[in-house]
This record gives sequence, structure tokens and C-alpha cells, in this order.
Amino acid sequence: MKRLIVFVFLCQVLLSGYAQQYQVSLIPDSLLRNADAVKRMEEMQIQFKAEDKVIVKRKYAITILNEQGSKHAQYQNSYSSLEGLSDISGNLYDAAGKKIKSVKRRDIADLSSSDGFSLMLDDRIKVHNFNHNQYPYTIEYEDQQQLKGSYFLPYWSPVDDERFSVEKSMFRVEFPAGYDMRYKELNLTDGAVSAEVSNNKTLQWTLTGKKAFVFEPFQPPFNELAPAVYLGASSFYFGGFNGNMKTWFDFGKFQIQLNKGKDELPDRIKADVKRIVTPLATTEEKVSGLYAYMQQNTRYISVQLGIGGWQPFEAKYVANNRYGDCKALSNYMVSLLKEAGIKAHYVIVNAGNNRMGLREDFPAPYFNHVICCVPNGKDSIWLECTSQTSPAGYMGSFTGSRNALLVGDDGGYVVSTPYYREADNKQIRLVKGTVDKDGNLQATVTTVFTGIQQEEAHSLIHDASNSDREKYLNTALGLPTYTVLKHSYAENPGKIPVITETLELQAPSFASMTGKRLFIQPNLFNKSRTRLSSETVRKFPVVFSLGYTDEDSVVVAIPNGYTAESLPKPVSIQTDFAAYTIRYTVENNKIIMVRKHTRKKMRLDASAYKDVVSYYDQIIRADAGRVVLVKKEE
Amino acid sequence: MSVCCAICICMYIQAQDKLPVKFGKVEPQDFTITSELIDANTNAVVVADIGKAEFLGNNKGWFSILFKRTCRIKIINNKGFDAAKVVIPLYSNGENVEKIDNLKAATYNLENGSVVSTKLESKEVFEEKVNKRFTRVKFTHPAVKEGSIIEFSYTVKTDFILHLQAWEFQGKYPTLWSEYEVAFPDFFIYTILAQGYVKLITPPDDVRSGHFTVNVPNRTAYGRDDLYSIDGSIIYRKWIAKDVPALQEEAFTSTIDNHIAKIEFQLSEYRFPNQPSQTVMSSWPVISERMLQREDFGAVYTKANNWLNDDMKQITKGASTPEEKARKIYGFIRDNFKCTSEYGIYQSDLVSTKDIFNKKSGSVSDINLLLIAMLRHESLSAEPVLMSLRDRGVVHPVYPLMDRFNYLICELKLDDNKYVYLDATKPMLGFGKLLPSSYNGTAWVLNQQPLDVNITADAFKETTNVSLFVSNDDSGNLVSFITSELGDHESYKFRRFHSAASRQDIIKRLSSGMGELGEVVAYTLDSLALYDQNIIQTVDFKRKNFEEDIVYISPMMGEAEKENPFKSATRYYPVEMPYTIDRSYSLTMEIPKGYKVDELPKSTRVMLNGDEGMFEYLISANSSQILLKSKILIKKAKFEQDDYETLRNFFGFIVKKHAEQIVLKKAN
Repeated sequence: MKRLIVFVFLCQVLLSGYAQQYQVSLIPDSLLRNADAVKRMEEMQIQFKAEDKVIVKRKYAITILNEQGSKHAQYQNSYSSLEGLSDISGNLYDAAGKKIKSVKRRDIADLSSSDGFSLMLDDRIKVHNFNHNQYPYTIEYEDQQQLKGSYFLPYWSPVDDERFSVEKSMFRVEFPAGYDMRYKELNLTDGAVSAEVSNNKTLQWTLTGKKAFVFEPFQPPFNELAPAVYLGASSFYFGGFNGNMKTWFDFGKFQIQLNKGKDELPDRIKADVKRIVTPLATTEEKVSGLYAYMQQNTRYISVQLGIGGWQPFEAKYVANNRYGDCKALSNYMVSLLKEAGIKAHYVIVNAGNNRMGLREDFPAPYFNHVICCVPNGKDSIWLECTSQTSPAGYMGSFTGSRNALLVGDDGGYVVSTPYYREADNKQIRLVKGTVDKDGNLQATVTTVFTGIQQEEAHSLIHDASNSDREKYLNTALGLPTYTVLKHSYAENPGKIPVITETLELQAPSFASMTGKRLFIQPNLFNKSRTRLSSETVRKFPVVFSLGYTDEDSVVVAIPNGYTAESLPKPVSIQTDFAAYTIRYTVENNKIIMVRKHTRKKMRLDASAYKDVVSYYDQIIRADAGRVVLVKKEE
Repeated sequence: MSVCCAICICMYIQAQDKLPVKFGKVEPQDFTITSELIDANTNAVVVADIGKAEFLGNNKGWFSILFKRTCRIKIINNKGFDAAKVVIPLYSNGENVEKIDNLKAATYNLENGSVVSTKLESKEVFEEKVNKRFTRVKFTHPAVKEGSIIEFSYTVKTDFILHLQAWEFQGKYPTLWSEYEVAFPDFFIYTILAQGYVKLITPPDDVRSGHFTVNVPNRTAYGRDDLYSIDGSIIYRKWIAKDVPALQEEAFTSTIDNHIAKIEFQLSEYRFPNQPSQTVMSSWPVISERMLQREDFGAVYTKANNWLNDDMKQITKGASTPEEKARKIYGFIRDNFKCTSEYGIYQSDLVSTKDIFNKKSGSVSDINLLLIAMLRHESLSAEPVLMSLRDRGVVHPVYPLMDRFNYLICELKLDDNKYVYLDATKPMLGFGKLLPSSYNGTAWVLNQQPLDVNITADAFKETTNVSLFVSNDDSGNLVSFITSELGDHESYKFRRFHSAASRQDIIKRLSSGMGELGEVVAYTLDSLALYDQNIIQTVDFKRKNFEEDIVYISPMMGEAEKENPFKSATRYYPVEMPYTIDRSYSLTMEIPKGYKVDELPKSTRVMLNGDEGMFEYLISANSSQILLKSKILIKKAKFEQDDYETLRNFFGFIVKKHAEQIVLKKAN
């Protein structure tokens, strides 16, 4: 016991000792380079007292070097019915390390948080900002959170951003020696130092002298670059429930508990299910029929309160209100399918491009979404239940190409959602047009979009109002001045959905004319804009997160009497990661351009970056090719 | 009853103003709605939106307003589902809290020919405390599907009678019937303001006698509350708008609020029985006098502020003239203070001027009031100017409707009777300059004789001057030199950009559109830190001279207008541009050795609407040189919707002309 007291005492000395060290002049030059802010110190301590009581103490100081760094000057932390936030204090120091001001309680704003789409959340945030304007300066904050459960444990990620360096940061976790605290280290050179003091075990990590890194185009996601330690509970308590997440199987068991008894349907819905599936023969047809029924009869409304952030509303609630969030709607879909005698599963996933996600070797609740999966031999059918318009079986960029946790009858199973590759994500476009003698263009543009490349068109059809769609089409095509006279869409839903868009458009003075010449850039709609700088040395690997294929054919009829004076040369480039060809010809009073571009979803070593730069330089020039026509002298 | 209907012409058509719906009672035929307003763009339609405001005596010794709203909406398709999400904001100033009552909502669906209703359950109504002052009551209708009819009604009781609830007749969905009725006690006189392009019908007022009981609480331990009884007439006045189209925001709009059909109210006078009438709003002199006395307004700068004495000596050190002093003070605040809120006309609660000075941060009004206080401390003649930013909408040209104002700047009178306007809250903004967002028409200088000043976008002249010289050197290179004098706003934007930009970013920006001239060899940026002056950029380019037999050159380079800013084919309300434009460009090009001009664009000049604007493109060449001058002049910032097509064609013409090319051929 005595040792512990000495330890705590030392720790306090350590903390108070920092205050004198905020002089900006003490920051090593190596940490100032490329940095807008420097984390001077951080101590994050997790005290895992019990499964229903976890204390998180955090103290940190950041020197803000310039205006760009000032986004790191704001203190912000959240609280809710499941976690308390208290003891917020803070100080402001000038460049010499002299204290100028302290946080006053009345200056801490207490605001409702908003995720931009939920109707109601019970998360609230406390925010403070010294709003200082004399750079450089240092802010120091301290707070404490009390978690009433251990389902979600905090993580340590000391590098907050790009252009952000870290002088010293420490992370300490303290828990009963018998508890199986799991952790996952990412991008760290030094491992944990562990100690055991009177039945308490501590693990401690330290990061020192971490230099700032600068954004590089096509860089890997932030969490692949930044050092971090994630914690995972073994047995835990959460909002009235107990569970264990040592394995994904156990993790799934907990969700089974939350979902239990929520699948009962009102009789009228049961009757609807029967009416819909009776005439249908195959499982695919039945799933599609019921999915369409769910889509037509519900809408997405998000309400997240307490444990309700993880537990679905019951199927009955959705049936009566005709709305629900991703959990409620997926649970409802599973219930509808169950009523039809089709086995389906609730699947938890990390949608979009958020931090962490599911790691097969480290069960932890880094999820934000729920979908539904119907096992069907080799071809599972995946259903996005928050959309009234998504085709059955399509996951796309939001939930596709990743691991997810399928909640089975007995536990959880890691599964892979459908992958989308360059051959799935196509854009095949045919432009047929005429340029008149004044340079005006009249054209019909037919484009077939598939896979992830059809998502924008899908959203234009289903989410945009007609007038917004018109507005969008009239500004998005990259022509100087034009009008879309008519537009139409044909959809062919499926696992790889296909949308065909037909536009009729007019572009006055599309071809520029000077005296007897006509200048035309035939690549109307698909000019590469990727211009990469090769000045700096590439540090990170190159990641192409989307694979796609574009094919463009442009046929433009030109006025009589013109001949080609200048024609761009054909270009063909073949690399490991992409292939590009473009060809311009003039024949029978027609300009013809054919362009094909395929890029793979892949990852390249940093050393390959110069090839990527040169590749994009070549295609940006080839895409801008200009045909000059001259009128034959009479 | 003083009623001022500012814009619309009110008419009364007796026969057709009976409300076409009965709330709470939906019949199968109600699901069929025919209206010319409903087309393929319509996702939902407001069938009826009815509001009513009444006054009642309260037990705080004053009056409250009971505002009741009932609304029926038909959801046409799933893109209209958003109409079933209702958010009701409630305000509180700590002492008085707005309260919602009788919130009811229901959804009606037509199922197999009969109407099925689903009521909103009270546990599905959420109250979100946004911050100290605002709470949002939120709910969504249950059982909504395509074709549903939804209804909701609620009552809000408010003690804030200064601003009787406004009413918007127009919104993002077409509205078939919108009606607002206010029961004005004859002892409260409100100024009524209407705006928009929609016809409002006003049936004749209905006058009935009324009775109010006001309970004045006694705050001592023994006393009793006092009950006052007031008799008076109540004037029932109603506004009806029918078949109102949806209004959508288009480009070049300060705010849609300037155009939406609505009425607003401002309490102007009390006329209690047997008492002299008492002005609440009435006039700018009265408002100004009151404002000047406020602790959080006039007192901020009329006080002696002797605590500033020492600091002011430091700040104004070395200044010999009043103007130099003013510039030092302005620079001190601008460079050292951080603006934490982009709005405000009063000093923030719970802070003193000294706090703000020491904290070096505050809202727009905190900082600019401090500026005035500091200028006055040095006996300079500085006054506050109240205004509203463009995105808040224009202020009333005559009435002092205070809630329209959301911004405060300083008017400084210099020796030679010259006035400058100062905003010290924007880093890098020059002395006497304002951002385009402040150019919003009428603003008010508050002093003993308040005066309106017109700070209009028509007076913000954005002048740019670019000259490009292209020549050939002896070692076979094409060398170019470009000088750009940026306008006020572009200079400001460039400084902001520059403060966060790398050398790479800067070169990229300076060479944008200049690809034909080769690589950037050197550049200079003049007046970067002299915020009162405009920036002059110079850039040197170099490339290998032409070798091709035929050379095509886009002579406007990066200065070409590449896109018509007026994209949509039609316009439903006026165009509000942020400033007027004067862009000049000149090119002097030495013809590369061995080439001759094969083709030149033609010179041209067009006028915009008489002399409201002009575009000039003059080009000439001799055996050694090509000379080009292009000038775009737009003399006013606001154009009526009738001028839209002319404006669009004018820019279309410029885009076309600027795309034309020079052709050089190798001389044989």
C-alpha cells in the first residue's frame, strides 16, 4: 500500500512539473517541422474499477503554432446517460510558458450533439475555447469521464491529425489483476510496460518525439498511419446487460441477448408476408418481394438513446410507426423473412470510412451500422434496410468490400461483405453530337453506370428532387455553358446495379471559332483532373481504394468544308495499376475520340509513386487534346 | 391600429376564402388533391397551414401571446417524407421560457378505401436542449407512406410580446392555403411588414370587445397579488395566401429570406385606456437614445474608460495625426483579437469592456464596440453603425426593427469630413474596408441624431488589372512577365490563402491557366502585409520557344471567363451579386521569330442594358507585335429578374469571345 502512495505522489510531481515546461523554445526543431500544433504532454489513465465502473482521466497540453493549428485549441468531450463527464479544468499559456488564463466554468458551453441525420440523440457535448490569437500559445486541459459500463473502452491515439507532432504522450490502463484486459497496438515501436501492484495490474505505453507527417495524395487511411492502442473488454456490463467479447463468437452472443424477443410481428403484417411469398417460388424471389415490401412501408428515422444506441426497437414498433433506424429496420427485415420461413441474420458493420472497423484478431465494438444477410448457398443476399431504393443484394461503397459481424443463432461470425472491383464499377459513355457552323453543339449522351459508379446516378434518381437533379445536371458536366434539354434514366437493379442515363444537351459556342478555324476539345466529359506533385519524397504507400473502368466514345459531326489541321496523337499507357488509351480521328466530317481508362483497387509501395505521377501527367495532357479544323479555301 | 403593408397590395375576395379543410377529419376524397402547383417536382404539398395569435394577461404582471398552429400536409412521394419531421424551436432568456402545449399529430392513410389514422404517441416527442437559450421540440409522424396525409397542431405560450410570431406563407413545398390571424388588443400597436411576390388576401377586420386580467405578483412576505382588469377592443385581422408556389434558392441570392412571402410584426406603441400612449418602437431617435444609455451598448464607449490610459499610450505611440492614431488602434485590434462570434450588436452578457480588452477575444460587437471606445478615448469621432449581414436579409429602410440587425461596425469621421467604416474583427482586412457580406444596403449610425447610411453592393467596386508581356530571348526561349493588381476582395482572399499556403500552393495558384507560358521562374507579391493596399503580383514564366509549324494561342490565358456564372435558364427573383466588376486585361506579345500571324480574333464591344455594363475586346497586330485589351465592366450589383436573360447572354458572349485563339504560322 505504501508503494502505491509513493507512486501516486510521484505521479503528481510529474504532472505539476510539466507546467513550467510549456515554453515554445523547448520544442525540438524536428517536431516543429511541418507542424501546425505540437502535443507537449498527454496523460491518459484508464481505471477499470469494475465492469460497470471505468474512470477515464485525461490531461494534455498542445502548443498551437499558427492559425491552421488553432483547430486543436478547442476542448470538447461528450457525455450521455451512459457516461458522465466532470472536473473539466484548463489553462492557457503564452509562448514563454507563462500562464495567462484559466477555464471558468461559465465559459464551458453545454450543447446537444448532432450527427446531422438523427432525429434524437442523448449525447451531449461540453466545449471550451480560449480563442487566443497570439501564436504560438499552449492550451492545457484536464477532465474525467465515468463510464457506467465497459462495452466501449477508450482508445489512445496521441497523433490527432496531419501536421501534428507529439513531444510526449502516455497511456496507462489499470485493472484488477484477474481481469483479462485485451489490447491492440497499431503503428507503435515501443510495446507496453506492465506492472502489478496489490492486485492491480497496469499497462503503460509511451510515445515520444513523434514527428508530424504531411498529407500525401492517395495515402493509406489515417488509422493505418497513426500510432494507437485500442482496448477490448473481456467480460463487461452495458446498460443493464452482461456480456463477454473475448471472441467475436461471444460478442455475437451479447447481441443475441439484446435482440431477444424483438421479432414478433402484428397479425396484419404476418398476413402481408403470407400474401407476398405464397405465389413466389424461389428464395431469391421471396427475399426480393419482402425486401421491396419493407422498403415501401418504412422510412429511416434515427433515434439513439442510451442502450438504444445498440439495441433495436422491436419489429412491432417498426410495423406500427413505419419507421426505424438501421437496427430496427434490419431486425424487422429479419423478422419478416423468419415469418416466411427464410433464415436471415442481423449483421453489424462499420460503414463508410470510419476509424478502426472490424479486425478479425481483435473483437471490439467499432461499428456504426447494421445490415441484413440472407445465407443462400454460395451467394448470400445482402440487404441495406435503411434505404427505400437500394437494390436487393447491393452493398456498394457504404458497406461493401469489408468484414462484418454476422449474428448467428449461437454467437457471432466474421463474414465478408461483397467486394467490388474495377470490372464491377464501370462507366461506359457514348456521345453523339453535331457542331454547327457557329460552334454550337447538340448532343445525346448515353452513359451506362454500374456498381459503385452508379451510386451518384442512383442518388440523383431517388434522393434529389426533380429540380435539384436538373440543377445538378446543368452544372456538373464540366462544360462552360450548356443546357440539358432532356434527361432520362433506366434502372436495372441487381447485385451489381446498372443505370443507363440519357441526356440531350445543347452547348452554345462549345467549339471556339476564330476566323476560318474551329477549335474542339472532343473529350467532353471525362478529363482527368489528378495532378500530382513530384517535388517531395514520397513517404507512404499509394492506396487506390476504388477500382474502376471508364470507356468514352465521342462522335461529333462537324460542318461541311472543314479539314483537320491539327490532331492530337494517340496515347497508350500500360502500368501495373492502371491502363489508358486515347485515340482521335477525323473522317467523313466526323471527329471520333475513343478513350479507355481502367484503374485497379490496389496498394503500391512508396517507390512506385513517381510512376503514378508520370501516369497522371500523361493522361491529363492526352485528355486535353484539341482538334483544329480549318475551312478549305474556296 | 397602425398598419403598414409595405409591399403587397391587399385585396379581398369574399366568395372563396373559406378554409377548404376540416382538421382532424379526413375523408377518402381528401386524398385526391388537384392543383396546378402540383407537378413532377412536387414531393409534398401543404394543404392548409393555419396560425392564430391571441393575447392574454398573465400572472407576471404583463401579457403573454398564445400562438396556435394547425397544419395539414399531403405527402406525395418518399422524397416528401422530410415534411413529416417537425421541429419547433422554443426560446428562453432565463427568466421567461416559451412553453409548448397541446402538441398533437396524426397520420391518415387510405387503406382499401377507408381512412386509417395513426396518432403520434407522446413518448415519441423529444425535447432537445440545444443550449442555454434554445430548446427544440422534435417529432416525426408515425405510419407515413407515399400518399399519406399528415396533420399536426400545437400551442406555444410566449412572454416575448415585442416580436409577435411572424408567418411565412411560402416554403419548400407548394402551399394551397396559408392563413394567419392575429387578435390585436387595441392597446398594443404593432407595425406590420409584408414582403414577397404573392398576393395576400385580407378580409375586413372583425372588432370585438375583450377583457384581460393581469396578475401582478407581490414580492413581499405579506402582501397580496394585485389583479388588474383591462377592457378593450380586440381587432381580429387575417391574412390569407392561396396557391403559393414553392420557393427555391438560386445562385446570386443574398438570402432567400429577402424573397419569401411573409409577414412580420414589431410592437411599436402601448395605448392603455386612460393613459397617454407610450412609444415602444416608433423612431430611430428614440431607439438611438435608449441604445446610447444601455450598459452593453452606448455606455461601453461613452464612459471615460480611464483604465485604457496606459495601454493607449503604447498602442498609439509614434502617431502624429488623428488618422495615424486611428490606423494604429484599428491595426492593434485587428491583429491581436480573435473574433468568436460572427454576429451581435450588443456587448455580450457578463463581460466588461476591460475583460474583452484583456481576453483579446469577443463577438463582433464586443470587438467593434471596444474599437469605438478606444478611438473615442483618443478623442476621435467614432460612432457605432448597426447593420445586418447579407445572409440575414435586408433591414427595413424606415422602421427600427431591431431583430433584423445582427452586425455592428464603426463609423469614423476623419478631419476633412471624410467618413470611413471600420470592422476590426477580420484579420488582414484593410483600414476602411469591409467584406462583401457587410454591403447590405441600409445601415444606421447611432448617435444623438441617428442617420441612415447606404452601404450597398453597388458601391463595392472590385477592380482588377492584369498585364501580360510575352517576348523572345536570344537563347530560343519564350519569356513572359505578368503583373496583376488585385481588387479589394481578391486581395483579402489572397492574403487569407497565402497565410496557410506552401510555396507549392502559391505557385500553383499563380500559374493556374498559364500552362502555355511554361514554368514559373520567379514571382513577387507586393503589399502582402500592407493590408490597406491592394496586392500586386508579378510572375515570370519561361519555356522553350515554339517549334510547331502552326501555333495556337489562347490569348486570355488564366484571365479568360471560362464559365457563364448564370447557369439556370430562368430566374424567379432578382439577382444579387456581391459587388460590381471592373476587370481589365492586356497582352503585349512579341511575335516569335520566324512566325507570322495567320489569324486573329475580331475586335468587338457590347453594352449591357444601355450603360449598366460593357465588354470590350480589342486586338491588333503588326509584323512584330500583337496587342490585346479586354475589359469587363458591370456597374451595378443588383439586377431585376427581367434583366436576367440579358445578363446571362452578356456573360455567354464574353465566355465565347475569351475562348477565341490566335494562330501563328511559320513564315516561309
